Amino acid sequence: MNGKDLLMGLGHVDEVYIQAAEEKTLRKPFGTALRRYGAMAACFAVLIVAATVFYTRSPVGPTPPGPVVEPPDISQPPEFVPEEVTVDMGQVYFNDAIGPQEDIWYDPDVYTITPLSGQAYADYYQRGLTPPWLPDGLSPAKWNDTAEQITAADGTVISDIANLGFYSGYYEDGTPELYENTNAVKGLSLSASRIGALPQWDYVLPEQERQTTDIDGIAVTLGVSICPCEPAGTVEVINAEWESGGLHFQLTAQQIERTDVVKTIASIIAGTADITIIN
Amino acid sequence: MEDDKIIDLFWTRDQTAIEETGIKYGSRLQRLAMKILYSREDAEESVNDTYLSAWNTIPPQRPVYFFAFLAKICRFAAYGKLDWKTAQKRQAEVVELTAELETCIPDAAAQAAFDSRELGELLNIFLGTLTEEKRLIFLRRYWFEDSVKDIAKRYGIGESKVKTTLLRTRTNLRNFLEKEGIHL
Repeated sequence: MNGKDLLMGLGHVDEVYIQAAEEKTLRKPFGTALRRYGAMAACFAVLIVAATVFYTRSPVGPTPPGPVVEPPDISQPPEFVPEEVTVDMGQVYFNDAIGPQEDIWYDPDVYTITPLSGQAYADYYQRGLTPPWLPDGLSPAKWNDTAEQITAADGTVISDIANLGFYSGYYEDGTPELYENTNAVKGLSLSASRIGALPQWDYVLPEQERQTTDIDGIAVTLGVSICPCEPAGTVEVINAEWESGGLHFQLTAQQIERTDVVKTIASIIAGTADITIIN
Repeated sequence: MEDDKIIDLFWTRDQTAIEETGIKYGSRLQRLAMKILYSREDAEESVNDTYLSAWNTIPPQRPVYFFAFLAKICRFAAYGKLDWKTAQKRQAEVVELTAELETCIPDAAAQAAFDSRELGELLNIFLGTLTEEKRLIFLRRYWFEDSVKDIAKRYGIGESKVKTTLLRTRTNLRNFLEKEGIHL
């Protein structure tokens, strides 16, 4: 036996290991990131304190000769220009998911349900929720841009979910159409919440063992599950959860290419449709 | 297109199956073959052989991990085209990988002949004993033939960590083969 034999022998290892080596990412230990960013934050803090001490202790004297330069106007923040974002599908990890948990039902006799729409909706979420990029062929549901805020008797907001849908078609009553032969909807739904009370998904592995995917600096938990659809067989369901821009998001996609799902998520996170996906 | 749909095309003998496979995985397979052969032409030929082999084996097969299924065929096809005698001069990476793996071979097994399929089974057992991190790094190096630098970049870890992990895993493999392999 020699090195060549081992290289050739490796060719026979289980496909499950090969697929994992192609798809999986390693979760960085939280402590490492915390230490790194903690150290950076500490450095900034030292610089700010040093600069403050330096300027406040500078001797006040006559104005030196030379032209008077007006300080820059900082009353208006610089315009945010989103940068192009690239996502490598080789670095995207899909956890095995089981499916969504049952929705919580709130009794309207016990809780106050306040509809949010128009300006109230815009003021509450402080950003447009429609993804800047969507897969071709999907159109918005008529319930988009409305939400419900549910408040307990003591005034605590316990639910504030905005649900948006983007599907291949709709029936007259506005419900998403079942797509051709698969007897399942084709499209995606997006939920957003400020307080984070979103419906939960069940995964095969416990939370501490699930892997996240870094998309433009945001940790996104992606899941894949199979939905039985008679008579067609099965349909792949992709779900994703993340927190960005002060909101918690959850996305569920059926019969949408994985690359398109990831591109949609990246566009929401980065606030731009300029997303490049590499395989 | 999703893997299942591409596989369905193979099953219905629809020739767009090859086209869709190429769109989805062609570049990755080409990269894999290129790392082994260092020749665009030979790599392209290996990828085409992979499509043909997939066409001939699906059906009756229905691969669960479609990329891994294709990559395995492509890797064998590329090694089949590799001239090991001239590799010494041209394919520095393959030579380096072979040399690294030589260190895993126990002295008692050095002179023995092993069937690569049986060796694969043994390696499967060994991979099952590793932590996920070690397994991924080991396979990226010796299966996908990634450089240490690329592995470090892929997983966001230092090159020294990759080297250390590989060294320890090779030592573990040697011990494992010493314990198990000589009974083949």
